[in-house]
Amino acid sequence: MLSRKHRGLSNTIAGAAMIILLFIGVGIGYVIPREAPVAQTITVTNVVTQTVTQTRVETTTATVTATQPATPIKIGFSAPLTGAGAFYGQQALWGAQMAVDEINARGGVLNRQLTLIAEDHRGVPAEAVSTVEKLINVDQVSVIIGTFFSSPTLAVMPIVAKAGVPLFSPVSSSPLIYNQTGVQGNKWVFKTNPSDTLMVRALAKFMFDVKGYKSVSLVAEDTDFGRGIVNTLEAEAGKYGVKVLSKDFVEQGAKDFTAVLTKIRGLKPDVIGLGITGTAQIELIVKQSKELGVKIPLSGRYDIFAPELKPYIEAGEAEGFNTVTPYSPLFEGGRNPEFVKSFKARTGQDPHWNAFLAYECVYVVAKAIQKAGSSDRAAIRNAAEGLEYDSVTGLKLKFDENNHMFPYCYIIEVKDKKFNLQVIETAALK
Amino acid sequence: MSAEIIFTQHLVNGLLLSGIYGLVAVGLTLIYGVLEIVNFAHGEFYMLGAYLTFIASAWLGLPYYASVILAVLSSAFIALIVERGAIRPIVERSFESKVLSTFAISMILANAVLLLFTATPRTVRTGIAGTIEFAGVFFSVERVVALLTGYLAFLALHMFLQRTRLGKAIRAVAQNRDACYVVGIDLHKMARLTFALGIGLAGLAGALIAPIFSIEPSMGQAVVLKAFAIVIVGGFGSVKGAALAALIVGLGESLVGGYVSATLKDGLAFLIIILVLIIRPQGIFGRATRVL
Repeated sequence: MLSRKHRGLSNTIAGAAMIILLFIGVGIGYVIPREAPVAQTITVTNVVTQTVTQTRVETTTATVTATQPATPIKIGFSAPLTGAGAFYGQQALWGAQMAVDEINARGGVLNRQLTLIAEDHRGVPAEAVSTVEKLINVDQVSVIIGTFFSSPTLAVMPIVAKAGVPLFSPVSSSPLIYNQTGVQGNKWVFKTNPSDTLMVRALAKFMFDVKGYKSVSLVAEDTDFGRGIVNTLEAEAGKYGVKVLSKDFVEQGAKDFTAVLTKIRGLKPDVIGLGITGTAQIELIVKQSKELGVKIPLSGRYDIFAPELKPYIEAGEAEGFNTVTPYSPLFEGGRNPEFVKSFKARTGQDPHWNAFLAYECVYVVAKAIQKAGSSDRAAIRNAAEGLEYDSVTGLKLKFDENNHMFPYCYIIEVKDKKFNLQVIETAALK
Repeated sequence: MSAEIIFTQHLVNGLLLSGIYGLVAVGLTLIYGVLEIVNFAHGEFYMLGAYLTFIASAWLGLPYYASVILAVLSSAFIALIVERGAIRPIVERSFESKVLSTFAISMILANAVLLLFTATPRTVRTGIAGTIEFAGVFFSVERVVALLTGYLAFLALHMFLQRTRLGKAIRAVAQNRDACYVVGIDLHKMARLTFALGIGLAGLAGALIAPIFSIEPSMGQAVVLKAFAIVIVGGFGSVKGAALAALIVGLGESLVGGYVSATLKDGLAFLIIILVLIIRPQGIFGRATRVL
């Protein structure tokens, strides 16, 4: 037994130790989410020289000589590099970096190299806001590409508009974005992929017309993306006279779908319409369906190309599954086969739609900078309005009055353990 | 498909879930009963158990059952170190110091795992995935194994606390600390043992859940809140109460998710807390004492 005096001393030491531990905890908490992103080449440039060179480049545009190396043009990149969307973020970063490297190898834009500055928002809207604020204020980027999830994109849209920085969104598909951009108000946001309204419209035709499903149960995550999918699918089902038997929203990143799947098993719909992101989530849905004896094909929007689904597709347990995607590596039109080949050579993986859309987005941004003739934020925005772009898929794209482009979307169906592909023109669905 | 089969399936789903909740909650309530510490880091030890299983099975290539044993032993061992460094110094101190201390442990563990593994979800594969059908009701093999192991662990804990000298000593500490000084029970030793035991149970829960769901560094936060709810409903410090409350919450969540709304499912445990706090503030099996 310690004496009173000793007890007092050891208590003080213990207290001090606890405070230190707490500080370490808080410290690590602060450091990690910011340090976690995949290593990127971040060019450290002296701010003074940068401004000087930049002015020189802008005033003398065509007469810049090779003797004076120009400062790079900084492109901010905000994506879920870790978390439930880590696979998407990684693919997107690969795609974007590949485009940047290709452009730089050809001499860059306006005789200046492009530099990608990547930040991780882990799929959390609040973190997306802080990454974008950092890119705007600390890194002083000319333009931002992001943020790959709908809720984070919707969260950063007012911020880029206020700061006057053009945001090019390559993947987020919530119709709420379309309703706010261009002539609808937010002139700083541009979107290079089709919205869910159009993609689900195309899918509904396939589900209710081609496949002839008569009833559907809807399961989606409780986000802007998930609710958008359910609203559109429900409206489309109404048009085709298809019964919606149930509608369930689960937490984003949910793991236990047994309650919902058991309920659906009792309702016996022809198809389950999903609005789910996350590769782990779609695997858990397929695995738990199997464990509960639910044999209903999955449709809606989910990641049919998720690596986690591969074993199920190869085992023939995903026959009849279908979905709509904004890209497919199987598409053989345009320059896509070459793109798939060089992407595979570079990363060892097939390009996911996040990779392709990010890749194309960088080219759209480069074209806007070229047209603007400077790396000035407002000049790029003005140049991007109504910008035309020749897609890798062979399609001619153009920003409409809502700052949106309408590339192809693809209906994918699993048949005989393989993906069947159908190409849809989204512009016709408007 | 008859409505009865679907109802039975919901009950089975809930039962399988309650086993996991029970393991986490029982460890939490045990530690509270003996150390009078509300362990805010409990969920992180559950997460640690899941990651240790992942390391053992995916990296070391051990079979699943061996991974589980290794995960439980290592979490109990880590618990002993943590007890020495961050619990023993504050066990006699104010409630606030205890909260801060366990909160610090929770942050350090969660962020250390985040640093090592990133937030990307991982999956543990057992090789026993599959399902058994009985009269139209499906039982996932992994979940049945988790439930049976959980109940066996609970039974073993019960026997240990009721029948052995050490178990009786632990209960004695929970009942009356001063009397323990008089009869010569080593309080530090009992505290150390209880902490390792409680954390071992949390690690076991994590190891059992790892193949059923994907695992990620933040997985402990959601579970610890639910475990708190279960412990409050069951009565703080009551092992029996925690087990019963886990059953109520597990079954309730499954039925609410199936018949009311999947969105409301996770709110159920907290709705039950409100009801219990109004009707019987000390919990189902709790003693009417002032905690704070």
